[in-house]
Amino acid sequence: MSLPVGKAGPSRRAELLDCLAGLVAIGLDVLVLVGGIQPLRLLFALAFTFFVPGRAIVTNWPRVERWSAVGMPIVFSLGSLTLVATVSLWLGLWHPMALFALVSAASLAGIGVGITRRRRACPTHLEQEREVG
Amino acid sequence: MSSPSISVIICVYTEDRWDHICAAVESIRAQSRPSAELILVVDHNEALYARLVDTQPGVIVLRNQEAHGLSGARNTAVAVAKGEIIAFLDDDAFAQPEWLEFLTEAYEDSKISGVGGLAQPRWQTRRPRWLPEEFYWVVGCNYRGMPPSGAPVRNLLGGNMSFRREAFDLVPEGFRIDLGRSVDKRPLGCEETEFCIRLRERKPDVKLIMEHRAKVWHHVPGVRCQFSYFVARCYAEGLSKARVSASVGWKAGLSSERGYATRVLPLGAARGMADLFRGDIGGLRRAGAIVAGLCVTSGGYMAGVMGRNRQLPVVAALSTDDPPDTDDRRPAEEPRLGATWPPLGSWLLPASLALWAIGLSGAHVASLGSYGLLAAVGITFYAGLGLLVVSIGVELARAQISPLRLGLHAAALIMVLYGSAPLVYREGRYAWLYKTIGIVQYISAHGHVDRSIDIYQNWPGFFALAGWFDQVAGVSTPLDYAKWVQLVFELAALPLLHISYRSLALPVRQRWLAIFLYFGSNWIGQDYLSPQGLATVLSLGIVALVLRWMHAGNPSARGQEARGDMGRAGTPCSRPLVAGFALLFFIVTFVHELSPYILVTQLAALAVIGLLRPRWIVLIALVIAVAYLAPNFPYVYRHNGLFSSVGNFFGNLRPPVFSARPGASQAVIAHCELVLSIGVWALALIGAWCRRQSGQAVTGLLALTFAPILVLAIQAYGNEGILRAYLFSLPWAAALASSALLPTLDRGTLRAPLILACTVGLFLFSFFGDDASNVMSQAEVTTLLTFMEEARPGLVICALRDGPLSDTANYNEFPIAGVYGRGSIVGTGKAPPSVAEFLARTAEYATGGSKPAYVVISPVMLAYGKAYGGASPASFTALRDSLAQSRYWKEIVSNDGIVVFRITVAAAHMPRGAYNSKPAMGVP
Repeated sequence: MSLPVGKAGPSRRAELLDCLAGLVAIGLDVLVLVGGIQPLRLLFALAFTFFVPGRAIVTNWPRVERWSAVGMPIVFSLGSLTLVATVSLWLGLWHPMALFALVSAASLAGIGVGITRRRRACPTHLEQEREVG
Repeated sequence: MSSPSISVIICVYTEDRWDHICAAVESIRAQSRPSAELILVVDHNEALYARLVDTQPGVIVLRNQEAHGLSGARNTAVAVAKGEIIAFLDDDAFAQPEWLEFLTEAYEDSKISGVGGLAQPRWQTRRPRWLPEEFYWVVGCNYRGMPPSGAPVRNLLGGNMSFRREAFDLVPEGFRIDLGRSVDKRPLGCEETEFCIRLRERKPDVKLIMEHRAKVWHHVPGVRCQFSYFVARCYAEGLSKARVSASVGWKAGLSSERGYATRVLPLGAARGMADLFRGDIGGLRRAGAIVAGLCVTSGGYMAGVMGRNRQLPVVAALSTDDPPDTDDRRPAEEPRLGATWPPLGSWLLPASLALWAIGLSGAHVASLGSYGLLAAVGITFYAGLGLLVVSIGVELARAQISPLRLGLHAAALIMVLYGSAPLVYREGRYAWLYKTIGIVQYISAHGHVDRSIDIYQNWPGFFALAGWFDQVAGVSTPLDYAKWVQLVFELAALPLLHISYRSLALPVRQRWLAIFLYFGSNWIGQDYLSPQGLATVLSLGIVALVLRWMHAGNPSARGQEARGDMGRAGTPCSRPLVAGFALLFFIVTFVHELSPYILVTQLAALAVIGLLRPRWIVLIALVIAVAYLAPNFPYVYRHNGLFSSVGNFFGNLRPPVFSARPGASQAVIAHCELVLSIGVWALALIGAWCRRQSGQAVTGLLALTFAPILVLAIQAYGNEGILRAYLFSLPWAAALASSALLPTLDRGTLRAPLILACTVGLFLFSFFGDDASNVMSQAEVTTLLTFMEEARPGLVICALRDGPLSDTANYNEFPIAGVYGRGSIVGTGKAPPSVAEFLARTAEYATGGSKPAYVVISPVMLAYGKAYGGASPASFTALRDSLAQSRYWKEIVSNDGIVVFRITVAAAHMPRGAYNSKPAMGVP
């Protein structure tokens, strides 16, 4: 995934964070599929739990500044995963791996949408984008 | 080439040194190579001046025409000196007859602008054995580690130095009057260092050398052989170095000192230790003096760096190229100052982490005693932590704040405070952690919750997340990662705190100081692998969301006040944001029982004072919280006494008491916890006052800080309500406290790192002091885990209800009871003579004889009993002996101090005896 050249700081940062989240999600998918090496899988799972689903949400917010771009994904990741895990538990549909596949796919989709939306936006607008979030 | 003329200058200030002055003068008169003139400058002492004029013929006696102090006196003399070479001798030193001859010889090289000689101590009392030669500069003498004779040096030593006349033409302002003796009560110095550096700045090819053949002897009185003088002199040297660095830049100002601190002093310390091993006990003292001297000098430097802004006008004026009489007293210039800041953080931080790691690596945690980890780690652990606080102080005092560096420091502080325990202990701390693990295991194994088991199954959010995580991460039990969770939660809190503080428009230094204070005072340890841990992070996120996007301007505030408290007034709150808020709040309601209500109280307080828009989101939050509680209400009412503490605010305010007779160390720890908590809240109040005084709004922060306490009006939360209130109050109390410590919004004073150091010190006692009764060995965890997995379900009676039990998926089939301690079978009183029979009867009564019963004794229970006075070691011995001798119990596990007894069939047929009372107390 190539990074756009010459974009303003917030946009570049957003894409970097999106790429990072995407890599974590894909990496964990692979590790889960191949029954990955324990410490690595644990670390990827940790990064996923604390960042990826939230990033997929926050990347679609219009304007987010640096600390919010890091902090809010943590809250929304933990929140969303807690929600889906608990609801599946209450409903008697406790299938953590299926749930992971679902959340992972949704997160990648959300990140993809976020990247696409940003790229479709006029670059000049991106450069003028104000950090108000 | 003709021999240059020499003026010798001796600066004097007190008649107390009359004999030394006379000796110095005589030594000059007796030189093999006579001086052209001898100048005595009297530093504002008329009696001494008159006495010298009367008694010293052939000597030029002058009054100091400049400011009081050595520098002014020297400048006065230089102004009238006519010699081509100007030499300086201290008034308490005397020169050897060839002194001037050797000095003059060195000037045959025309490139040499200054020559210094050797100053050797003349002890008036015995040479102190503890004073290392590396620190002889403390007594004004040459020290070990100086360059060899003839080698170029950065600066000369004031007691024995000489310069060509041209040097003073190049640096016409002479010696700085804000350096050197007498301008301060402290024994400051470095005026000649600063002069030499400026000389080199003006003429880079200037060459200064040492000529060791040119000797003087320096009188060292007894008072200078005392350790107190050593400390004062080191501190003053640090202060002086800071001032020199401010004037000439840190590179030049500390160029020699870096090599001295990194090469000479370590070698000196090693030499001292080697002397010790050779049988010289003084070697240890010298090594200690080197460490102490380095620390104190560094501290003085730090103090000088932080307090330097007060010296800036003088520094700026004297560091300019213009002479001081041009009246060009420019104010402090940030770029200039920024350029002079040493990159201390670049080595302080890694050095502190290295020391911390070394201290941890040598920790002896196999058998913890009083004060837990604190007594088990090496001194380098504390040195590392101290250095980290110093480094934080340096970063906060920088002219240009660097978020990256401060972020790294925050991460380092979190690592040191919350990463130490998981690094040194094989298993996670706290007995309750294992209960949490059991619930996660239950959910992973069963795939559903059973609301009748316990309250946790009614608030399953956290356990569901952990169960899901275990599967995705491919771990079989949370035991694999449990001990690291607290560290991860604390790291997660860092950006959330920053978002909130930024939204509150806290100035950047206060913002970071608040972050450091938060992590340095979050002692209650509730955010481990527990629902409270997750709820805390989520709650911080919700408050960050609210402050960032759902706040309103303070209507009672004016201009800056409104911005200062709640940032941008009237930011429109969109529907997705409200939905996001409601969803997050809903998640908190099924993660933790108390957190949503504390959160509602905080939000309500903000809404009441008009800082939250729309106000009705508080109502939404309350409805969500109550709606979740409603279906669970019967269970909570029945099992947890929901209304038993309503209205008992002051009773609920009391911190939990584990024992009426805690040990001495426990009393100290309890006091540390209390002082830290009250101290943070007191600082918050002072900070509120400071903010109000400076025109900043305080109501929002005050509401967030103290609203959690209101929850105690309706709930004691098992006597832990006050701890939870503290946890939720802490971020905002820390924000207010930072306003008290950095009230000027300018570069930091010494207050901030000092208070942070105190905070961290109290934190260490509060957080690690209990470890003896909180830490389980790997053998303990493994043995009891194996027992719980393999044993037939039944009643488990623990010697004390504190152990790594209930960490299996079938934890619900093993109800736990305690032998000793409040609310247990025997209680806090003395055990009956035949406690085994008593326990057997109790077990039979509780199980109806249909299930087995077990008695578990483990080391952590013993440690807990000793620490909190719940049960003495003798009680444990009595229990174990009684069980071993009883025919009603059979030992089935014995490993590394862990013993498990199982009830025998004989118990079912035991005769009814003296203990046929109702034994159900403490039995589930």
